[in-house]
Amino acid sequence: MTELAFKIKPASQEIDQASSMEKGMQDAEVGRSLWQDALARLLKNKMAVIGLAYLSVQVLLAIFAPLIAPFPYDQTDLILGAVAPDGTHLLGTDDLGRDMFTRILYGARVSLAVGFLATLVSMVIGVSYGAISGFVGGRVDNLMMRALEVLYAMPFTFFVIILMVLFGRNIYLMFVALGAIQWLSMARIVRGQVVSLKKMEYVEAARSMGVKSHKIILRHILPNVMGPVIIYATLTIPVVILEEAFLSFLGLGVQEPMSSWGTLISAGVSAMEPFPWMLIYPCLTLMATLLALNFLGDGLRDALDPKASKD
Amino acid sequence: MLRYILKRILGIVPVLWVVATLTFFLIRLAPGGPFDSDKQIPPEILANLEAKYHLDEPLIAQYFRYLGMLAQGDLGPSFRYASRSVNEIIGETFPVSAAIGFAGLAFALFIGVFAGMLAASKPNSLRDYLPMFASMLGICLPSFVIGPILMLIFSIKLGWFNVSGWDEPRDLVLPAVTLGTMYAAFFARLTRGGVLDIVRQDFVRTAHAKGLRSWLVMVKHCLKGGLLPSVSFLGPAVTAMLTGSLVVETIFNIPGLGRFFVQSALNRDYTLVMGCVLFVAFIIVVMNLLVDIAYAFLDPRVSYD
Repeated sequence: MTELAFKIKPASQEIDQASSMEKGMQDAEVGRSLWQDALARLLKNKMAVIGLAYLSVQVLLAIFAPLIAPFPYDQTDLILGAVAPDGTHLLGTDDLGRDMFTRILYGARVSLAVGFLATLVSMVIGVSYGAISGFVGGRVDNLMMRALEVLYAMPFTFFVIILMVLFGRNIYLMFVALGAIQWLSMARIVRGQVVSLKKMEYVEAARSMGVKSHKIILRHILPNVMGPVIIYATLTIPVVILEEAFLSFLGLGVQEPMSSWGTLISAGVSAMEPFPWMLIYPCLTLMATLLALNFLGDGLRDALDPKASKD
Repeated sequence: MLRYILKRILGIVPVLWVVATLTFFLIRLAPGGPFDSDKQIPPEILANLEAKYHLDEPLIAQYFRYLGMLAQGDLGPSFRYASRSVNEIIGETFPVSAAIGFAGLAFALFIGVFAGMLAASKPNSLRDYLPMFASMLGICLPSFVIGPILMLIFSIKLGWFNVSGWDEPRDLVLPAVTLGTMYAAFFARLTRGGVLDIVRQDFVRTAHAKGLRSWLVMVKHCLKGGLLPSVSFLGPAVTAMLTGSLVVETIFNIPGLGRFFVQSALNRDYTLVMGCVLFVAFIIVVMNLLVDIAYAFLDPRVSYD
């Protein structure tokens, strides 16, 4: 997913022009902003809308998990053991007699929280780094981009594993660590945008009026960079969710009795022969979420950047 | 070109230095040591052990000692596997991981490029939608999901392969497919995009006009250019294969580098952890360099001079 998102072209200015032209052609009173325009385009994309709907439900279920869950997430029932899905246990129970539906619901809290928060961390780092590098330019830019090239060659997943092993399986550490390894491409994209934006006349105008640099960045540059940033962030979320599941699968993520989709899949693997439902349902949930996020990301790219190709 | 390659090879040194420094201090700042265990080791023996591995010196002295060894290509002795050097352990385990990695990459490229060409040969038809839908599914199939599923179907239910282990050549098949599936999906999408950019060009129309069969047009004229996006994705793909081996080797119980790495981190085997990370970083940098060189050969518009 990382590479695919590199195709984003600096086209937000063109959209600006396109939408203002469109504005001229419509009734003089009803103007549509860039964002309304993008929203309309997004809503026309069926797969993206389905993805968005699925994700909204998933997020709501995760937030209200304590109210919805039919059983406490850590309530074991060793006499019951693992039962196949039936009326009381919609998705069956695991080998300790815990309700799978409940555990997947609670797992969603961890997995989605890691996905969103780590992406937020990566956005903050990537956007600041890219914006500074692009805006300051010259030597600083050169140096910052060189550093980025060196960082690109780092085996980051290995670093995260070392971190998780050595400093204990702390979930907050995981947010930061996963976010801290995902910002490189974001920084590149933002820098590219900023370099082309700062040559725009309105930025020149602002500067000639004596507006301070940080104000120019905040008022004029960042709002125009938001399109690509949102697209890329949407595509980063599934990557991070996968990373978390990967770590949890290796036993380095969240700890029992808490669950994330990764730990559930890992437990499912060791019990897949006698109790296949322990593997199947967490896998399906993870896959559906990843699919939804990818469809939404593709849809957003088409909506916010109609010139970029689909591939 | 030669100057460019030389420059890039020199550029490997600072990258490895940064990796070595980061890993070194990351490990040392963490609580716990390699000789912590449930059994209490008598203090005299512990002191001896620490002296043997120079753990009693100041951290900065240890750091420079390590860099000095590294400059000579020596990754030091393993703390846990007494009497074995890290070089030996990596030399034994890496070929296993490399075999799986290359088989996985070959699988991903073959399936991916084929599916991508198929899709691009008739865009917006069933022949396009089917492979592209499959690739969308593939992108959402991480190795720790597809591995167990493949194992459940082909080893346990059908009995075609061994459930786990690393004894005969066919033990390579399931791990390679597991590792390659997600990347086959990426390659399919990249190839489709690359080929679609090419088929609209004049020389392709000429080839069609002179009566060349359409599959020959695809193979002779479109494939080379259509491969470019996939080639530039090879670097990240190799990195991912190396990382993915951690999981695949755990699932299929294969004695490769990845499993050793996780184990060594859990054991706080300082030198082995550092050795693995440095080695992986080295492979990544070298592969990236090879990819960039290959790119220049495939695309005459790219020159590095």
